[in-house]
Amino acid sequence: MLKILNKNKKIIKPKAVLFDTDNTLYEYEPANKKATKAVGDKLNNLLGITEQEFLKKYIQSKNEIKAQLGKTASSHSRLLYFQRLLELLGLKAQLLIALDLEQTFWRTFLDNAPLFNGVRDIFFELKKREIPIGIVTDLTSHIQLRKLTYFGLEDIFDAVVTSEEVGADKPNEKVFKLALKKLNLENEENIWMVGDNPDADIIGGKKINAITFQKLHKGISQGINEQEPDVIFDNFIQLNHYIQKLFKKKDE
Amino acid sequence: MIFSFINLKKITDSYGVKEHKRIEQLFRHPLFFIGLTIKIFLIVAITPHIHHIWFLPFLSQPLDGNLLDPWTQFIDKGGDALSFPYGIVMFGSYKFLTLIGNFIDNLISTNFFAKFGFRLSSLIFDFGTLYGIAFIAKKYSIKILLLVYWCSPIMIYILYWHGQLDILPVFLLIICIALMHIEKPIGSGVFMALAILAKSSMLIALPFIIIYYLRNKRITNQISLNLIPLGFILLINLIFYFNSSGFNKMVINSPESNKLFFLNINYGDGLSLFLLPTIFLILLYLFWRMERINLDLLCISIGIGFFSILILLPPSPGWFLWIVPFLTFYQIKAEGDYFFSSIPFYCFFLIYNFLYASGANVNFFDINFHDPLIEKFYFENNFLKSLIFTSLQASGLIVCLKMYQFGIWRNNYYSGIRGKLSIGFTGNQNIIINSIINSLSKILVNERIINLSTENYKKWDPKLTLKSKLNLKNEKVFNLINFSKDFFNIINKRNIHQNSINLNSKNNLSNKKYLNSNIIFLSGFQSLDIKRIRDRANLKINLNILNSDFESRSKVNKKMRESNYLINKKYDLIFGLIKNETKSNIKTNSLNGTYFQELFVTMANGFFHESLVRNLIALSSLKVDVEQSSNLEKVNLTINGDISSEDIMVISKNMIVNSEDLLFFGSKWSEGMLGIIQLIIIIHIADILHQRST
Repeated sequence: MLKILNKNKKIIKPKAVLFDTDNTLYEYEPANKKATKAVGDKLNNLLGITEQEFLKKYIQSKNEIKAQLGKTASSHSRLLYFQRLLELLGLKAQLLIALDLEQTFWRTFLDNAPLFNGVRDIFFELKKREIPIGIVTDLTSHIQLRKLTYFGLEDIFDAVVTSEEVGADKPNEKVFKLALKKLNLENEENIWMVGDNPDADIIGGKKINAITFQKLHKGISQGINEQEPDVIFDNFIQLNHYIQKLFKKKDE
Repeated sequence: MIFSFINLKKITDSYGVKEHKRIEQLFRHPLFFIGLTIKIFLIVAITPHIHHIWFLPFLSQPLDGNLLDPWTQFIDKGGDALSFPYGIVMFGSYKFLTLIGNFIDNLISTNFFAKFGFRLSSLIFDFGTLYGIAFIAKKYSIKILLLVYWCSPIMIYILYWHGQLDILPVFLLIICIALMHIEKPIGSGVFMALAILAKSSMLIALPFIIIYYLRNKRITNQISLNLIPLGFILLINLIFYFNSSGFNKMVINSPESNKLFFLNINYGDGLSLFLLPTIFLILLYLFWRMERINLDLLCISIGIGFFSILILLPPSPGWFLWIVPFLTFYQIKAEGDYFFSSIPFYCFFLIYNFLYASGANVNFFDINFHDPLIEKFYFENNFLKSLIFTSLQASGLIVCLKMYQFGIWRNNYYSGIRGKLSIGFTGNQNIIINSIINSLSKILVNERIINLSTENYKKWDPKLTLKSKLNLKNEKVFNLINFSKDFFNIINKRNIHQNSINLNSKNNLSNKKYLNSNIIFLSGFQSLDIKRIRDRANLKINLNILNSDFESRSKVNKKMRESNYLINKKYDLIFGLIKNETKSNIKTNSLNGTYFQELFVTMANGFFHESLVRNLIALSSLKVDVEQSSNLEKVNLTINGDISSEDIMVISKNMIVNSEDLLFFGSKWSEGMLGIIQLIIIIHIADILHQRST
């Protein structure tokens, strides 16, 4: 399904396409669930902490870190969550265990995060058409670069911007503006922004006047009012067909 | 725990998000819904004739006598002996929903729901079998699986039009294989017993399963755990039904059981050669003789076993149902033109059975198709019948041969190198090398690995002082002639000379173990000095332990690259392990009490180093430098950092071709640099094993 919601916006060949990463290129929740479970199992093996106790304290530590750091890249840091979790469990600063849990989390996460069907094809299509591709993503650079490398996309992008690089999470305008600056397209209007999150990606995309595409799948609600995207889709294969059709028209 | 009946955690752990997603996609695929719609329509609209005349009267009888012996009660009340030639498991499984249907029918005075409940049971087992095949196959084309199993005209015809029940024993057999695969031998044995108790013909699969256990070293010791519950359940059943006159008449002496010795060659004087047991034994022998028996081969071989029955006996329509899941397994694994070669078989099956087997009645309307179609044409011609039957059997035989051909092909797939795989492994510290070889046998748990070391071929008596006078690099230290002779004797499966190798030393293995091995490591100083040995070795590895205190990292790297080994191009793989003198590293990277901070690897360029580097960096945050040799032939990697055994396990699944054939639940990876060395060596081994023989 691909549906154009904003009929007033003329969709033409883009000057560049910006993509969000988490939950846009792959489904975040199953990987997160599996990784959190792996951490819980490890804690149970190492320290005999029950799953229930772990989940309770983990949520608490996550909320504390988020409240403490606000909308910044570090507020998503699993290492900080696990360090605080161990403190909340009364284990003080168990640095080695915190590092071990972080590695367990990301290893399991990556192993269980297959790209959506058609993601690679869409990148190849855009490359073929010489359309620059950028990544605008929250979280720390280290883990986001690890993710893109693991997906085998390390040499696909023309620009990658993480919220760590600008000191603020999306929808902060700086994230998107830096991406455009890296692509030398600072004053361009015809940019596409593809993401899942109405608050971060759609609002953020609108701040740079981009045509916004929302990727919908299980657990994602469509943005409404000021968060309403210009286009919604649930399948990259269809988006790819749409792009091909758009270029075909242009060629004719 | 091996004794837990079915460990759900182990089952779900073996399934990652990727596999779950594939299952989700399977059940969301349009073909799944098309198949499901057709099946639901048929179970609502159609009652197969044999349900009407046989199964439903048997299952709907009120059980007022012995609940576990409905056969005798049925016969005593004058029922048809052909009604239910199946065991207690089939009875119990189909009775449940039929009973609920009966209850609803009595409540609202209809006669629909008992029939519906009965047919719904078949749909549930059909769905379970689809899930089971997907679970076992793991990697498959969703479209092919749905086309050849779920939407298979054979399945739809047999289950929903003709109305046979053989799907239940097949479903139980699939669970048995799945449990065996995830090393739950007791559960597997129980389900095998249930399958046999549902339909005794499932016994055909049992010898294949026993051979699979015997030929797979990692699970051989589980065979008793599989056979004891299996034997126990069958024995209880035998004792219980031994005196049941109804069971004996309806099940043991059913017309189908009597077909077993139908096809024979008359040798005169009342002597006959029964063809089915003869061919079946040959099949078992061929299966036993296969070089490596993996799960694919087991499933395909069971399918061929069932096929032999179909081809050598006058088959009933329901028997074809036994082969469909295994035929499906073969088709999703083989893909390509194998799919099309089955089409004539499907066509002849449908033509023959529509013409000569009973059909169904349409519910709610007075329309019946229960007589074979041939009767509607008002002509019976035995020649025509035999012609179509011959075409059916011949096309079945072709599919069977194709399956065997694929089996052999798969077998060749794993014997790209003829005979045993030999790996030369030398270096400056034999203790470390021996530890690595031992650790590899903990990962390749299904392989029979031996280590033939020149250490056992010393000319001197280690207890005497002469040892100190001889330098290890002196070719006179080792009896390399005997070492070479023994190596080639093992390769050629000949006995090794008892006097040449010190068989009394504590590390030595019996002659039999040397001969039964399939991977031979040649280790120790000078083990690769003889050209004949070097030429035969499939993989040559060199490992040196280097001290970091006397040379800088770049100098060591340079030394590695410029070493004679590389110049001579003698080794496929060169490792350099840098000792960490400060021993400040955390628990990882320790080997025999020595800590390592860095690993140098030199290997062929353009093989897998890019993927290895990607995985090491992305999954484990290791630091990796990559450098190509000037002639682009080799690539040098410098790796440092900490890596856990879990990281290596995940990377191994990503990188090792068909890792499910080499790595199992019991595979134990090491952490740190040793784990990376293991990984790189096993990727090479897997690659050699997968090179198809030309």
